[in-house]
Amino acid sequence: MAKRSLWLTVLILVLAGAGLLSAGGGATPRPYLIGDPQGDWGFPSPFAHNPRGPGYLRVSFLFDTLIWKDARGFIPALADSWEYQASPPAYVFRLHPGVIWHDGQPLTARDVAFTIDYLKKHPHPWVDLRPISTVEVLDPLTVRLVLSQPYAPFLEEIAGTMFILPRHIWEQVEDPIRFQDARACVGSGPYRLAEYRREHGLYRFVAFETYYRGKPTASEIGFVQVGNELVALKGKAVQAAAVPPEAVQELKDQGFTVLSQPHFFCLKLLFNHHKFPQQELAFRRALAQAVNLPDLVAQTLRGYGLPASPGLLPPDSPWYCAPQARYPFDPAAAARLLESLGYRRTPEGWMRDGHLLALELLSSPAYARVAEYLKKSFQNIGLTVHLRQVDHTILDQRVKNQQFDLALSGHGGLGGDPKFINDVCTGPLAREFLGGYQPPPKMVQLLTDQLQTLDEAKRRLLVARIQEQLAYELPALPLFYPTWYLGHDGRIPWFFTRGGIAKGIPVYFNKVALLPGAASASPP
Amino acid sequence: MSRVLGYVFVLLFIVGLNFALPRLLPGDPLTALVGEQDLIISPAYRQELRERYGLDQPLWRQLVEYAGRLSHGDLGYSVYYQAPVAKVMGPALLWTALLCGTSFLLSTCLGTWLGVELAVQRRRSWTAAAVGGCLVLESLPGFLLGMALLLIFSLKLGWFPFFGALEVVSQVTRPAALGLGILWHLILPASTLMLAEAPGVALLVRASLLKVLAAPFVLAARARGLTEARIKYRYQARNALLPLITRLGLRFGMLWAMALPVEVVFAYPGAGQLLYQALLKRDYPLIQGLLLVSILTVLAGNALADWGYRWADPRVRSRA
Repeated sequence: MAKRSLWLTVLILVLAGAGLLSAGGGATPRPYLIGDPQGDWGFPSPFAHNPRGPGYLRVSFLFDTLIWKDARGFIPALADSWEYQASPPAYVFRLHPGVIWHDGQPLTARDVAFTIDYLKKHPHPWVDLRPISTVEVLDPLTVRLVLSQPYAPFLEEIAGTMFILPRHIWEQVEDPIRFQDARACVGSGPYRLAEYRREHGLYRFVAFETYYRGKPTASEIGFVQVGNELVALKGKAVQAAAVPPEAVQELKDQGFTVLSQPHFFCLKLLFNHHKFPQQELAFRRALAQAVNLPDLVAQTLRGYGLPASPGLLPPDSPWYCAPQARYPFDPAAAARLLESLGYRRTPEGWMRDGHLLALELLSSPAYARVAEYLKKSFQNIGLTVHLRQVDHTILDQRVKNQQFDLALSGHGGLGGDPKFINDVCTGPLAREFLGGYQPPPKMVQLLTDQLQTLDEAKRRLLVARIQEQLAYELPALPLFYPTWYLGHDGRIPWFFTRGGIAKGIPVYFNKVALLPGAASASPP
Repeated sequence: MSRVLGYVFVLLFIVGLNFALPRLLPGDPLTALVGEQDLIISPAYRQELRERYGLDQPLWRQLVEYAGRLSHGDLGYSVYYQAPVAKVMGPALLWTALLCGTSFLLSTCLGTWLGVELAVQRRRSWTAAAVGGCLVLESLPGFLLGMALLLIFSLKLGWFPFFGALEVVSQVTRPAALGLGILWHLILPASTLMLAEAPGVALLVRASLLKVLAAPFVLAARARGLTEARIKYRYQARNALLPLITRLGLRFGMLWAMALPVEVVFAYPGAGQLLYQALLKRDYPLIQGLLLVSILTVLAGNALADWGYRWADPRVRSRA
């Protein structure tokens, strides 16, 4: 037995040695790696990437937009300057001279005009170009985008999100999603694609030496799939990764830099507005007063989060304004509100016209604890609630089809341009995000006005009134904003982009942090 | 011949089922693809996706198109990965074949050897402890075992990598280093699977062997002066193999499902993880492609078990 154990030990040591050899013994420089448990987010071309935020983020290292954002707001990218012209409403962009694509071809205003034409024919998941009526190339470095009407979110939603495509490559491409060879990744961004391995979720980028804003400080950077982000970070196999709140102190003690992210994700309790009593304001307020939000955060998030504002926008949003309407925890007031709807409290529960009020609460496994907490809170005011747990896709589908009473659903993007409130409240998306809520005419007017108001101070007032209206109407009950953390080795001065990257991706990995003088991009 | 026809019939039936099952799942690929990102997706893009993947077509038409493509060997286009299904599945299946094949072979060899020793040396004190150890390992979930190995050998000792199947920086210019890198990344996940599987094999072999240890043919073999090793493996073990072959045949088809938790812990890019993601994302073409491969694997497993039975037991051969 001892002989066998000896052989086994020798074998393990030999294999471990082989591992060191295969790793090159430190001879090959390793890229700066960011760990991600999901892994693949699609081929990194402007059309083939996965339509979710991380897919867009990866492509942003290869392709530039007209303007970009840092921690303080908009900054020049391909365009050195831009101005608004009121009549007709238009934006004029002056491009940075001498910009070249990764293949050495010059980038001109014709590429910008081509991109807009091309995207109108081949829609991009993130860019809605309907507000642009015509494009005029004034000279090789100046382009004028004429709008059909004033459009306040233009800079964030279009100029700061639309990747500019090289005309000489894409003009022959008929099916942009299936165009997935190396040429599809030729952009004007600070990095070039060195390697993409779908099954490993590996994206390896190398610095573009002649980048027009200076050579990036990290010569190689990559995203890779990891099984356990915390273990990989602690073992220094990756240099940055999201980490659980419980590990924050331990990581800090080990010398890692840990950053908490602004609260741009909200979990909401959705009401089905096509059913009684959920469509009644008094009922929604009753449920709001039945839930102790600070305690909910303490119990279900172990305190790592913020109770949500009834006006939906989090305090971290540049557009946040605390609404007057508040719903403090008050079970007695909740019961009175139910009585005002004609319900009578009985030992079985709340009855009306001989019918017991019993509702089903849909939740996904990720929010099972929240669902349990809500059930208990509602039971405390005598309301009968049955829990039903389904997977995330089924929940989304049932909410879309209005096949629910109450549902727990969350979404991000709360830091971006307040246009997202229009997306949430009006049109077909209202069904998915606010349970089929139909905003009153006053609210619709406010929403329309805020899209067309270019004066920021005036728009801020409008957005504040919208938040007030949302808090008053309570189309959904915002519950909390969880706190998420990023751990990294401190080598790169990652910062949080104002309102999130592009139109609101709530992550730290802004390419500007990799450019010379990046430290000045951080918030003061 | 009838057996072959039977397999063909089963295959056709399952291909039909393969089309229907993903579509019976509640939810649709677009909802899964964009999820909360619905806020961001432009309406034109949403419509473009619906048309591109034929999701706006009636079901019968989707079936006809699927069958037409399949007859040409085209497995379709993945909705989530936006790439041909064969291209998405190919590398994952290769890594799964490497991981599961290695662990399958090792666990079978190790389990059989251990089972034989546990039965033959059943009166030795160490065998009781070993049987206890096997029971503990058998009952441990794969991910827990994997996590323990990861924490000890990767985090604490730093001997093995934390994730993946290859070095991040491509080593194509150094084939030897590439091979060593693959082996280095394979050891922990394969060991986890082997440790999870081998005890079951060992306990089964032990139980089967205990029934034939004192059989008359063993006495006859000893009387003929055969060596103990020959008696153990050629006579006793072979006669105890039938239940093991059944088990191996069944496990063969389920290998990648069993590998899923291990693939997740080590971020090993196998097909189990891919199928799990495809199911979550309601990626119909990818689910169909992977299920098809899975079905073929199960059928192959059954065919191998059939063949193994006839190899191990002459009575089955003579009946056939």
